[in-house]
Amino acid sequence: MEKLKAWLKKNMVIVFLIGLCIGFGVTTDTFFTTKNVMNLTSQMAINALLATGLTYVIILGGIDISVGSVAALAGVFSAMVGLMFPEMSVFMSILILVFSALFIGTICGFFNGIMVTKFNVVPMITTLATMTIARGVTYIITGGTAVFGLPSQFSWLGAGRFLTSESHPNGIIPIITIFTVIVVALMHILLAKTVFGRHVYATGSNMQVAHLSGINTSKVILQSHILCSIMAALGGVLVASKLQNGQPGACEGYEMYAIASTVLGGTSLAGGSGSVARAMFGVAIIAVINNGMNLLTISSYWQKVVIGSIILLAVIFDMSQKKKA
Amino acid sequence: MKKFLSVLLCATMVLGLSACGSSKPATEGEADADNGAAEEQLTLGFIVGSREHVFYNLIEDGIKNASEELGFKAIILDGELDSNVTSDHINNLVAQGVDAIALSCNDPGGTTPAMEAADKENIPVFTFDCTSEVTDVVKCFVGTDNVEGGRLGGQETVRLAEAGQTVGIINFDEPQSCIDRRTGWEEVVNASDKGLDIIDIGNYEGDAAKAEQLMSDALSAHNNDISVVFAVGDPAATGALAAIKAAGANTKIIGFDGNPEAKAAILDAENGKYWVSEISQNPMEIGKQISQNMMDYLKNGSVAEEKVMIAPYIITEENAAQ
Repeated sequence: MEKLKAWLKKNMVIVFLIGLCIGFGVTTDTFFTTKNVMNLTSQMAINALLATGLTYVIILGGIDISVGSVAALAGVFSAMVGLMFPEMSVFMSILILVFSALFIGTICGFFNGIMVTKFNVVPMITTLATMTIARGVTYIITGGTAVFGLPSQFSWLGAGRFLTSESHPNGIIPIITIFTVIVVALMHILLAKTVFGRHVYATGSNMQVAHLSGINTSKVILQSHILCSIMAALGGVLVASKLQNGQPGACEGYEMYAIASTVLGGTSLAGGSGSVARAMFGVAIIAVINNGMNLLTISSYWQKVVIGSIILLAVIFDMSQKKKA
Repeated sequence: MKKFLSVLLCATMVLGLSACGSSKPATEGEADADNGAAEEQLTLGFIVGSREHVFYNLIEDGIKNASEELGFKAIILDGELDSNVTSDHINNLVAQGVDAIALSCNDPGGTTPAMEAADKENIPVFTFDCTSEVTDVVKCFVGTDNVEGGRLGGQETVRLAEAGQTVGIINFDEPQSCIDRRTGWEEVVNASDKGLDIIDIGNYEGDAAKAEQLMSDALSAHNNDISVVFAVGDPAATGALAAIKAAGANTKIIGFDGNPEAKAAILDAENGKYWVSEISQNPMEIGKQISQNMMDYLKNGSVAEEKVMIAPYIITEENAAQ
């Protein structure tokens, strides 16, 4: 009994998530339909990638508010590259998307990382600058217009689905979901099971101690920023693929949802603790609330109020638990 | 010292911006130089809503064309859809001594004091795209009749839907233009004798990905049984298109704006099955008309009409290629 209580306290997010699902399951006819559950997982994908990258940076005690802009830049970049290959195959389109994400992500992440480690600019300011610059570049290269005219193969990764059947002519399982699960799982293992991951935690809990014990903390911070931006860029190219269209205004404000998800999942903004897997519960909570409230046709204004309140409650609860422990 | 530096910085930025803005040969410096030579040339200041929207970029093109045609110097600034930025631009234009100012008055409440101040300095103020009902200093307004555009969207909705079917709207609750489109659309759809069931798909906040999510959730909630969706802006239509294709639904889309991607989608063999109609504005014409009216006012002291409404029009497969 005591054990159960302890587990419940530790895993309040999971309990809360299940409660939410049951709540929406009871109040709507459609929440638990295969189609809606599959939609839900595809709606989580972008935020899941953003939150995964942010988990690394936040564990280091930093922050990255440029993820939304980096995502938009990578999205329009991939669409522009895609336009050069009108006869692309599906395989080719995946190459284009992943290459664009790696390219833009590495540049932006490297810039963030160098500013933080070499020039000692605080992450908030560095990434604020990157946020503005990346958005500006996005508008410059597109001239403010959507990048359109891409072949349908381009949207395989973002909008395609596996398992077509008679009742589901377009397929059941979103490819974007499978892709995201694989990437997130790899990123979770990298953080939880490798030496690099332990260096991230060590640097985040106490930089000086980590440095004295022989960890190249600057390198860890730089690599984490690159990973974070690559994740954001992956999210962005998936949006472009999903919409078959590069939108310069895409992903505006997504950094806030990603940060909220990470915090909801128990990652402390003070650094030193957190996990990618737990951040996914935060991602799921926000997605379920949005989806459920859409199904109930509750106004988006109220959705904002509810999500804000839940974040606040989750953090207060989390802090009270840590004090006791 | 700090204050001085920040003022200096702002000044350079404003200069830099306006220099970037006007691609035509007459730049700030040259204008000062040839003021003596061609004293007749008038300088008109324009503040577009935001350079981040194709719509305003096209208005800007219309203004630039008019400036060549009518022979005035245009200073075009980006209001960033922020009344504070817009007000600062108005004050700066007054300080620069322009002959008239036209702005896209997206937030009438916030920009009214600056507009009235300019009027007191005897610089006539005009509005385009959005106007202010709060003040009476506006000499002339040129804009799209968005309520009428919404009505056209409503007509198309009624045309495409069969009796008793469900039709939806993806709206954007903040800009007045989008609220007007919704008003016009609801008016026509409600009045139709087809007995259509209206659902509110939600506020897409200008984000195509958000529109995609709203649309897929609405399709789930109604078992794909949505016959027509009216999107108050093209990003919403883009998102809806992705959602409809993923859900395997057969919903028809009516977009609004007339952006290039809308025309491409309507003409596309695959996307054109869903995105069948578009309500288009005429931003180039807005730019032309506002310039014309400003020049008329400066010459004659009055304009022919205080409110010039540019009619939106319907684009379908037949006229999308034009």
